[in-house]
Amino acid sequence: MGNSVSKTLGKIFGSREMKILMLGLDNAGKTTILYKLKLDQIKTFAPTVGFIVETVSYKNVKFNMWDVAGQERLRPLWRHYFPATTALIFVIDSGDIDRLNEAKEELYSIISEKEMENVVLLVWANKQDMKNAKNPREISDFLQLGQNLRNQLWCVIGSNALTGQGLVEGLSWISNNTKGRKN
Amino acid sequence: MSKEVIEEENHLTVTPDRRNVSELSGAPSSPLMIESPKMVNIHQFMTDQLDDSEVESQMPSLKNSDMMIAAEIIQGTYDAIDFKAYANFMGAQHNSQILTAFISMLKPFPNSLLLSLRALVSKIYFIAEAQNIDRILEELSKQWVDHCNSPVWHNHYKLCHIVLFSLLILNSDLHNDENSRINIPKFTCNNFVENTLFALRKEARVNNYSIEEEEPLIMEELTSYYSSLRTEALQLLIKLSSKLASKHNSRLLLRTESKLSNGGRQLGKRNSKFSLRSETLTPVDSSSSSTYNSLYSESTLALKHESHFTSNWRFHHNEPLSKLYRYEPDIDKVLSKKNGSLFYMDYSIKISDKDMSQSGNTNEKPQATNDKHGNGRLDLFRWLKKTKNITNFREKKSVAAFLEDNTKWVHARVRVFEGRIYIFKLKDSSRIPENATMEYLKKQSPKYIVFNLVEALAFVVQDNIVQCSQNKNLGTQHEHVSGNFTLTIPTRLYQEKVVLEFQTSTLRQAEMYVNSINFWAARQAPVPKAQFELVSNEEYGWSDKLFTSNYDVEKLDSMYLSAWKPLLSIGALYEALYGDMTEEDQLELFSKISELETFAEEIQFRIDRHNNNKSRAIALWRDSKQFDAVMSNWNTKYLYLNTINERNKAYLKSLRMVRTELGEDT
Repeated sequence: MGNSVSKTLGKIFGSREMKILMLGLDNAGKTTILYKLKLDQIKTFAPTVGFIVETVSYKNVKFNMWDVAGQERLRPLWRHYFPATTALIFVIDSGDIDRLNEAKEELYSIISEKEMENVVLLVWANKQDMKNAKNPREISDFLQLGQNLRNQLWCVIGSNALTGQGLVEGLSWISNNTKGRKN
Repeated sequence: MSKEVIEEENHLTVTPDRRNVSELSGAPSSPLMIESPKMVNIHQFMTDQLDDSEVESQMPSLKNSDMMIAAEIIQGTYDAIDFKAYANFMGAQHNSQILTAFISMLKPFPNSLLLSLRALVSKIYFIAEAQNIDRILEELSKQWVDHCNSPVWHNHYKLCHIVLFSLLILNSDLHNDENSRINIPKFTCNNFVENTLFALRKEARVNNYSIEEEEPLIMEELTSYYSSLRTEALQLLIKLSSKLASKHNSRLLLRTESKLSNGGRQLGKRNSKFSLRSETLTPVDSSSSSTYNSLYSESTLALKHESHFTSNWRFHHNEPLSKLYRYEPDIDKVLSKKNGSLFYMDYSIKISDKDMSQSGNTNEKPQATNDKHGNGRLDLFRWLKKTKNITNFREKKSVAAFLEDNTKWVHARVRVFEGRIYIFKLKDSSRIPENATMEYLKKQSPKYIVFNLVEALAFVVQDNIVQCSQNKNLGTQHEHVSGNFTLTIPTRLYQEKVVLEFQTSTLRQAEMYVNSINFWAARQAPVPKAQFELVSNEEYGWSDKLFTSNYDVEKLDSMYLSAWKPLLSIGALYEALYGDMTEEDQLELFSKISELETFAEEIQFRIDRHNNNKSRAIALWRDSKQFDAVMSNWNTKYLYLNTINERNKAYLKSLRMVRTELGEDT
């Protein structure tokens, strides 16, 4: 299976070199997303000490993913991943209204880093299946990306990591919008 | 690990005998874990630990049972969970006591943080969720600063925590195998030191102290950690015991981990569903497939990448096909077996053979029947590949066979049920019993093929084209006019779109086939709504902002326009990712109907709005150099909206028929 997953990535991204950083608060659904896309299976060959699915790469495409978990002190370490990042995926739990602000703060603290100036930003408004989930429009309004991001392409896509809705669309959006760009 | 480490890490000599250097280094000669422990050993072990006055003073509150578990984990004998899940288990919030006990059993710690980390990973299979790792490292930091009185780190366990975590990140960056195949540069020593230092400074600031004085030492230490890690990766603990897991097995184990890991902590209620998915590798019921892995491990299968053909391969080899749809007893039990219904169509009809007749006659040889596993099969695919290059859903090219007088129609038994279409080419029109088994049909047929109907679309040709030549038949009444229908199976990743053309003896029969095909397609296909709900700042040439901004031509000429393109949806990748859709992915039939209804309204609204935008866009862009680009964007989107709309309507129509059929039956 891993093989066909890899091919999928190849199909979406072609032969371009992509470095994709996926961040989000804990419990936003990142792991579920990776599993749904079966990206975890790529890593089965010779596992490395450490995080279950922290890095996934196939040929020219590399995913790093990170929990913006409780420990604030670890967050500055994300900077390890910033250089040469092509696209930033930020995953938000659209149903967790209480933590939306926290997510927003985190998102801005990342995209205001100098090295992140030129990346395209994809926000997955995840868990659209939840009853009280905010839709992509509401999430986008809340994040105020329109007002604040002037020179960067961004996109908010509703997703549901259980059904897979929005996932491939998101990767496909990244692919459509990074073509021909240098890194 | 090797000698260098031992030299470099002279602290190891203070390690108790029980965990001596050779054990730490994972030399294959000394088993890392005791195979079947006797409780005596554990008690002995624990007594040793508890005798240590230091330990005792630090952990007065630890329960004996927690100590016991920790001791078993360190020996690799705790078998309530898989040993690969130990790290996740101990990192879980509610197991903090066990974690505390476990870490304390690693004492005495080396004075180096990296060596302490190495000591930790030499005692436990250290792959876990980030948060669990976080907790484990934090506990190690706490006990380490107490134990080591470091002149650099003092009692700032939070700083040590950062360093440990950073080391782990560095390790995977440097040593992840998959990583090393890709050209993106690895962390440099400088990056590593700088970034770690950045985090340390920030943390110090938050806690109102300064690390300025220690910085040179810290940098030196980090630099030496970097070079040590670069030459010597952290070694994953291997359980050198009974069943050395094959790669295949270890994959299964790895996947199970996520299930065991967090006891619903992280994924919450989603976890339960999620874990169902990870069990798709094991057969759940007899009708579901065995394992896909077994399929993919068949390296002899030339077409193994073309997962679209999964079903065919299985069918040829008499493997059970997986279930494609959500079985609903209320509906399926009642209706599924009646021939000539939405659920089940099985008649001898005709299929266009023009491509096949051109592609050589090896297929026509009598021995073709016995050749299914060899060339015959390849020819089968060649036959399909001929009908390609159709670029749009309803391209009229696809009805060519119907319009051409010299089209050769060949007999075929076509059975539609349970989400698939089975086509058995027949040598002649000789009778096949009504309820012939698949086995029988396979034997009778020189060629057969199976398709999953996910996102397929069928339509009756006569709905679109009214041709007078029809009338030369017996009359204009439905029953006497032969019907035609076309089936389009959309482009999958590795394969051209397939268009098949059929002829039925009556128009009614063509309609029934179309309904049945669309019904099964609709039942499986996800509703592609994500594409329509997305919010982005991409500019295609018709945003509200643009219409209200009064830009001049110059500004418009220089504006960055994105090219509008439909996004791939998971439907397009489904087979690639999952082999087949699985039952849990499906909505219940009636929910699907209402979702499609909502979606239909949405699409209609979008089409109207898109039409409105056209004149405004023309007015705005008329004088700009980018006019053509905008119009091309507009057209592409329009075509896409229409395609989706038509498909959606067809799906809705067929799904709604279930209501009628249910009504008729009761």
